[in-house]
Amino acid sequence: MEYPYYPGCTLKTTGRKDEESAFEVAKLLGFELKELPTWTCCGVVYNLTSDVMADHLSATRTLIRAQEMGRELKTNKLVTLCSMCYNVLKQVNLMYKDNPDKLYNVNLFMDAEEDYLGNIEIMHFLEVLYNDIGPEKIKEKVKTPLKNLKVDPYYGCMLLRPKTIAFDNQDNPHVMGDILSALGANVIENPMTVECCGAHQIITNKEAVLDCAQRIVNISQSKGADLIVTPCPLCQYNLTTAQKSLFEKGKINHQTPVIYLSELLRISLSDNNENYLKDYKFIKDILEERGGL
Amino acid sequence: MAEKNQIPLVSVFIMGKEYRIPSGLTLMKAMEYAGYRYTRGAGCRAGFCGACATIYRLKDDYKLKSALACQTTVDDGMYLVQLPFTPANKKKYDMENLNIAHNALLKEYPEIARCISCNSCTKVCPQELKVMDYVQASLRGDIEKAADLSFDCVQCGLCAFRCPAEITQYHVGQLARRLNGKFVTPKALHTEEAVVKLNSGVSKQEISKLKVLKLDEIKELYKKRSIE
Amino acid sequence: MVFTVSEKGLDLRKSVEEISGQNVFQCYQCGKCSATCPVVDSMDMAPNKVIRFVQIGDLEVLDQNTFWVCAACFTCSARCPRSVDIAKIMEALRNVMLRNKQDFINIYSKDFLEKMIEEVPQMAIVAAIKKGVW
Repeated sequence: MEYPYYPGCTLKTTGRKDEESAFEVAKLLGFELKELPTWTCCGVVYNLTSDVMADHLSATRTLIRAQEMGRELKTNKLVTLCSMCYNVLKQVNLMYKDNPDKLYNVNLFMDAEEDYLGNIEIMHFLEVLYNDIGPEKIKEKVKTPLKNLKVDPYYGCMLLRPKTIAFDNQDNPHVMGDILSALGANVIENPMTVECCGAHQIITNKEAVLDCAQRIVNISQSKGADLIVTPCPLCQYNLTTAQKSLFEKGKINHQTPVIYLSELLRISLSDNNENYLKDYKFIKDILEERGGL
Repeated sequence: MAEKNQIPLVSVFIMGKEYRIPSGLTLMKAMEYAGYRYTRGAGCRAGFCGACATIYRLKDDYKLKSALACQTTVDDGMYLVQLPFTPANKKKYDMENLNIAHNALLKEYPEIARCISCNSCTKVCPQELKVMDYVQASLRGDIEKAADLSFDCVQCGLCAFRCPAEITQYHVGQLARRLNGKFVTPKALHTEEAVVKLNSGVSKQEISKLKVLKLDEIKELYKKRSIE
Repeated sequence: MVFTVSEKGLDLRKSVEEISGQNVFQCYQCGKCSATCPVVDSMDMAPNKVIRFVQIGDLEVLDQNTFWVCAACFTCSARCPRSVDIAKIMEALRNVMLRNKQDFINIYSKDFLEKMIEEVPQMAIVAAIKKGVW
């Protein structure tokens, strides 16, 4: 099955690894992520005011691109890897469903584009893995079980809040945990799994991000996690950068690697894991030590 | 009696006043026909320099249109105004100190991050460039794409005027093209080699010989030259 | 005690209610939003207190850094027992300042430009600008 895929700016730059791994994983699981032929920024944050429409244009344009490609591929789905893209696209889409007058207004303004009909279904890559493929099928395809590897699935906020766009339980999500268990990993239950990482405050108030990260990482480490797994490129960046600072300040005594779920999936599902494990020495060491390899 | 070949006249509003202008004239010629003399907003008169940016509306049409005055002919009922220039801050940068990291363009023009993809810039571009697309490519560090899409920009400044995020698109495109030329496109090795060869004096003798020849001797040589 | 609301205070409350679409009087000051806010430690004034100030139209609320430090994570809105969308109220307060030409970020300041040099993902830069610049 071919899914129209929207990368977003970050997946092409600092989040490159996530995209590369996801493409590979898709191939191994029998589907394909087909990038929209042309795209613009998604808007990143959903504008929460009741009057401004300009900030919704970016997302609307993306949805129109998905609509165009959807006709070609005969689907109304749009898959994204980035949690923030997912959140803003889904919230804008929902806003148009609840406010047809706003959709009318935006279509009138974007007269150079075709009208957005409001029918796109936005899915996060996790949803595709869980709902369309399923942990059982993923388990069958495992080549390297991640035996005894202790992983901490960290969701962050954008996938599960507000409730209207959540595809998993808001307080006790299980989708990532189920997939990681299917890979044979030892999944840790971290109560801080849906706590915010600080998001854009990394720019204006780094201290706030350090506080958030400490709260999340402290528990992760006290429960013995070997690594933290996350789907969001900003969470990955924030947690990694914050740990560096926290370590320098002596507030944590070691730094837990933070990697994308797609990277771990690639290592576990690929025939070529020898090649990939070279880049992830810390995982290779752990698996060898604990009998996984 | 000789028949007069009548060129139809159209109404054009310049500086708010109506003038009857022979159709077929460009906006620039129309203004001069009406008696105005250009001291600003005219340059190459060939569609290359971007000096004659014009905004106009047509009769009974609410849409704002744009054009280069030297390239567009008059329409009946045209209501136009010209932009003498666009106020813009160009960043001073040293190409030697730049690189093509993903935030290369964001660093010099952080306002690109304000882009809301409204497409106002694309709509107003008289060269019909995909302006929003090249700004978006710059935002994500795709320098090649930004350079490619902005190639035909004549820096007229209309995009910067219409942008709600106050981006100066044409400056961003300029930097993208410079970065592309310096870091991305392959070097013209044959040119570099030719320059080295020249500097080594390989043609010095030939040129010294030519310098002392008389005019008809040069003409003879030219007639006898080898043509590929 | 009866609070006398100044004209400007009334305007502030009205603006916040209009822009956010929320009834600020739904809030009964339970403090759950502040308890759950991940960045509350960096705030001058806790979120529930900010809403109290808006209720009584105290303009001092506009001097607080609360809504600028807000990460828009929606946890407060998810937890509120009265279904007040606090995230929207914070957005409204940001907009009251921004629409009054009081940007929070100067994108040409040394501080901000330095962030471009680091490997900060573009999504953070765009998000910060969307929340802090008009």
